[in-house]
Amino acid sequence: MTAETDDAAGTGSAAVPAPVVVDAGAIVEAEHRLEQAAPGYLDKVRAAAAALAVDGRRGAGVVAEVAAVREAAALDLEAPTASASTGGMLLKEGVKRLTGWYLRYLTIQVASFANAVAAMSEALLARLDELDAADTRLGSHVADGQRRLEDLEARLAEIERRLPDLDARLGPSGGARGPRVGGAGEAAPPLQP
Amino acid sequence: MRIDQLLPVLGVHDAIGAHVLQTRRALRAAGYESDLYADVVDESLAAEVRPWLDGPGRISTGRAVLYHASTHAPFTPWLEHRGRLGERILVYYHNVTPAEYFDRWLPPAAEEMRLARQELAALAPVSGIGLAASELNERELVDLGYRPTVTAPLLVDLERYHDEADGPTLGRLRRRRERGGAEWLFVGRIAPNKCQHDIVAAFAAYRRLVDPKAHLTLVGGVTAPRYLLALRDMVDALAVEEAVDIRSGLSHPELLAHYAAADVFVCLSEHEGFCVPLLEAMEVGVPVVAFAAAAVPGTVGDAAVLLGEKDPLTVAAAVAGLLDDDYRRRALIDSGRRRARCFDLASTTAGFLGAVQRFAFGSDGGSDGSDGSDGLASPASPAGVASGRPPCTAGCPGPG
Repeated sequence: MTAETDDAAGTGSAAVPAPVVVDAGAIVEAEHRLEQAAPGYLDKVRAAAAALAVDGRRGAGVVAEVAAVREAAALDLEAPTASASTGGMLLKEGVKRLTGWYLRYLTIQVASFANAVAAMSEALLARLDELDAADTRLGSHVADGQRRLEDLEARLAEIERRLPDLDARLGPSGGARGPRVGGAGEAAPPLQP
Repeated sequence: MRIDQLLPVLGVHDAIGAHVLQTRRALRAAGYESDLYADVVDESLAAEVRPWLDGPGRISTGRAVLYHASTHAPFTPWLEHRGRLGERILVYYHNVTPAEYFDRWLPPAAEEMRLARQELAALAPVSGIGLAASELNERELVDLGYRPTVTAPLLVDLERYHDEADGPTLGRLRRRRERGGAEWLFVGRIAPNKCQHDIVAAFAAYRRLVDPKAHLTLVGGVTAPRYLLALRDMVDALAVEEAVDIRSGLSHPELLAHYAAADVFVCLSEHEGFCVPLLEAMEVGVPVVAFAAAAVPGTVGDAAVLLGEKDPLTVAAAVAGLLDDDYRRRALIDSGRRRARCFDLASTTAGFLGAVQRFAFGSDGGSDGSDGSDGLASPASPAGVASGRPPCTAGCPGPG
């Protein structure tokens, strides 16, 4: 007998049953109904579960680090006191009880500090988000302004292109009230700056 | 002859602890002297076990050590050394949770899990046999170089789950059921590898979509306090705090009350070495919906709704589909009870003792079994082991 998989209790586990596949159509229909009943809730549920998964899908970059600070702020005071000997256990328990009040005093402050750091980070993140949004709006305004400026320049260029025709049409009747702009065939004088 | 048991930690409300105590009972009933030795012992069990340092100093041919591997054990180098000096060592592998599940929540525990795997590998050359609680565990032993290996399920006294439930607890749960709403239950340590967060997610989807009065109870001791805190935050964030209870330290009668009131047992663990609560649920007639991972499929066979993925909506739909179909639900309950009987104490004890005796002292009572002799015909073997299979196999509904 070498490395045989002997099933000493005979539980009939030679083959594992294939997992059940829940009806995909039913899932889609259920997702649609849930989205109608509670928009966004399913995404929230999935995100919450993903955040606690083993691959640490807490989010990317700064958001994940802030979450890690909050998690680390949960300090555990219940140090194990088990020991191979009764004396050892009693000693550990005694030390734990004697220092518990002091450790608790320190721990509350450390946890408060960590939570304050996390809160500050979240506030900075929120401010960064605001600045990003403002930057996006400004960028939109700038682009809009740019487009309007280009439009105005194009219209100005069109006006300048048409001025000679205008001068020609106005002719001598328009000339008494202003500088002579020349008759037909004469080039119009340049516009004054 | 003596077969002593050695383990790192003997805890209360612990499947390993219960298995070890059952094993001692079985060994003594079979005529062996048998004591328990551990490094760390729960105070309430101090009378049952001795510190490992108090064990026999001399190595004897009339003594074997059954070591239960489940976590880091500081005495492993000592045990390995005794194995090299000729002590008969049998390793029973309960499984070590992959460390990555605890890196984030409890780094010291993660480090211990890494150490535990190194220690398990170190014992392979000096072990007479690698016994495993499941085929998953046995494969891991084979990969580490254990030869030979045997799957011998945990010894679980399922008859205890027919004891009387705690009256006040049962009354309270029944009154809640009368107000309507399905009762979801999961029993197991609050630990990242058991993925209670996925159960909460699926439950939240189920409650919003199918049954606004549904309730979820998570029962188990806390292994990683930060994970528990994150779990509670998740419950609050999903607005199901009034529908989710997380309970620890329940007495056996209180646990029975929760099983009695449950409509479905939902297990979405990503890592289990065996998962005794699955057997418990099947034994008491609670249908099981589980994620097909690790040792779970091997434990439930075809007596549960096994899912290939655990998206919250998929799990919610699976539970809803089961609870809405009374015929299917009853069939699954019956199937579960038959499956649980495959693990009845008499059958598993016979198989376990047969494997232990075969390799503790060999077929002639003195060899180490390495001559390839089959100890099944030994007159010392308990009745029913001569064929290598306990009687229940013929009736088992498993896929094999």
